[in-house]
Amino acid sequence: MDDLFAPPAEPWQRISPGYATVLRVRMLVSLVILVGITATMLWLLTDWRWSAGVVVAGAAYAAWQWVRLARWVRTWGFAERDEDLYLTHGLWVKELTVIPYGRMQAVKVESGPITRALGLASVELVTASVQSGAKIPGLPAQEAERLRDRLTAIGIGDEDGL
Amino acid sequence: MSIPPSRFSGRPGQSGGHTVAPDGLGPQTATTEKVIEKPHPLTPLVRAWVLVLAALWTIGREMLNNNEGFRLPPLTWVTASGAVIVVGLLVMAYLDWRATSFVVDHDELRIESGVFTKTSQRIRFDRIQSIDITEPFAARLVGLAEITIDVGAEGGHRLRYLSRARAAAVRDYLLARAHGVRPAEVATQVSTGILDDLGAGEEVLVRVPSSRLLLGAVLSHEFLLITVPLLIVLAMMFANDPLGLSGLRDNPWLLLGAILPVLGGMWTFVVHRVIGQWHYAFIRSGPGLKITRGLTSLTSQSVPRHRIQSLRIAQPLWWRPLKLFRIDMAVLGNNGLATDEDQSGANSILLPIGSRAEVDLILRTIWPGLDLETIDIQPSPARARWLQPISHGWVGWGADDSVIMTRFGWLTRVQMIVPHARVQSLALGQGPVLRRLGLATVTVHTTQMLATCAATNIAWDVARDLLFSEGRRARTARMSDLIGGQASGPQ
Repeated sequence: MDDLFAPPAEPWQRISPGYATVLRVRMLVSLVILVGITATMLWLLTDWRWSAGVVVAGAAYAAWQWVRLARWVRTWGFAERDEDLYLTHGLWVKELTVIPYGRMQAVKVESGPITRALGLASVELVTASVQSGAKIPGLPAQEAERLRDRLTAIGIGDEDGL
Repeated sequence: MSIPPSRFSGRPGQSGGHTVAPDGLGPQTATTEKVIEKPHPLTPLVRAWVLVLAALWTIGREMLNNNEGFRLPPLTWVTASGAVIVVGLLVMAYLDWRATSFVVDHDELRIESGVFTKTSQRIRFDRIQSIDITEPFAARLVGLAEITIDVGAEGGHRLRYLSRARAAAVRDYLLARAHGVRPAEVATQVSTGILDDLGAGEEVLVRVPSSRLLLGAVLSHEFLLITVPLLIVLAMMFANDPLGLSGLRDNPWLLLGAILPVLGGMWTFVVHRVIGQWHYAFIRSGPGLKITRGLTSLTSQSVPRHRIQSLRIAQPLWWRPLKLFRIDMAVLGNNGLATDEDQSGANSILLPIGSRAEVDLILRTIWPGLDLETIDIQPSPARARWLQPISHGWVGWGADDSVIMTRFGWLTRVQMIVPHARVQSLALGQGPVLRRLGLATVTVHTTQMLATCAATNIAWDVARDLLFSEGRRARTARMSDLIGGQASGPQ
């Protein structure tokens, strides 16, 4: 059963481990804001011990996520095949997605401020279905461009599926 | 031969000062093919009907309240401004009507509109995907209808309003042109009734009697959800507390106050279900298919076969002994998924309620060559039983050359059918519980979702095979070889 999520023939191409840094920064920022507000409110309204408890819980969650995000990033993988693209990810809930190139309508390359600083970008295959969710995050910028160019060259907008 | 003037000429008596372009009439049509159709003169009234009604009601009430006979209401600040608004809106609607015309040209239909800013929308005949006729309540009262032309883009174009017969004529004409028929060859006989939109040479394939609509509504989960709690409350009251019963007899208003709203809710629900689908007919109309339905608002909707993304055959619990089913469809384009049953406009119900034979007939008509009986259903393995204790015997999936079908649901039994050519992408998923049991789920992604089409809780190796084989079938299925090799063209 271990090979349920194995690629059909080719090995998975992995995304950059640096993407874990992006996720960690995002996690820490939102956590600091959330914990900060909650702890301050508790301090003002009740007791410093409550807010200390919240801070400790937040720190524990952050430590757990710190480790887990790196593992989660390692589960991501994709395989470019002749006719379709395979995409996998997930620790607890694992997923393997197949997107035939013929169904692609557009390819989107995106990069936010944090990802750009780390030289990363995401590539998204847009199909006519909102469920597809075929987004490969955390690719090195050059790799993202290469993938985009390759996918575009394969031919987009055949409207096969419509 | 030219288009008969009776089909597409402007109405002589309706111009109201507006001049119809001279080449839109008479013998010149033979050379230019250009014809102009104006909206019906009652259009401004229908568009502002709520206001007109309110104004009439207010004025009428004032008049009746005046014992000194009929007199206009006293000219207060409120009535004056109200009258100014109503008149202003009517004038706007009138100007709008005057500026609007529908022009049929060589290979396109133009909608000219706009009082201050002129707009001209061009619709090429070969881009027309489907044409629906609706008669909203207000328009229906005065015998008018609205045409909605779907060109695949958002929204669709509306021609409103035309008289019922003209709307049908224009629709048939446009559809014929969209199918590539030359204008001279377009057949002209059209007859439509008040309850139907049935032209000559059209054949009703399925008709749903109102009694069956009523039965379906009463046996639906929604209705039982309203009724059963009421019955339970009543039963408890009457069983445990005979004294309470006598108390109620003394004070019947209590009972009425508690029960009347529920009865009212039941009544509205049933009436909406029945009225929206009233006189439902599934009609073969030349090369196309259409559905007509509705009592207060009549809808005549074409069924664009090649744009159907998926079908959902559902059977609520209490329809099971009666062997009745309902079909919904997901259509690409502006026929959004109206799960709202009361909506009598463009909606996604393909068959409100019907027998197995009728379901098969409709499926065969839409996708010739499809036979659900021949599809081998693969059930979930026995170890999946405790994940789906009630539906275990039903859940399964199957595929043939043209479609993939999945079955799920425990209260309402559902079959989702997706043609391979409509599959956008596929996903194989497995959570911790499924992993423990050695199971997995394969989800089929389509452009529009009636429900998630997924082969749930199947053995993991089967799931992996299905993912790859369905991916292969989805890749190779193309527009040209859809089910039954149907021609792609407007329906």
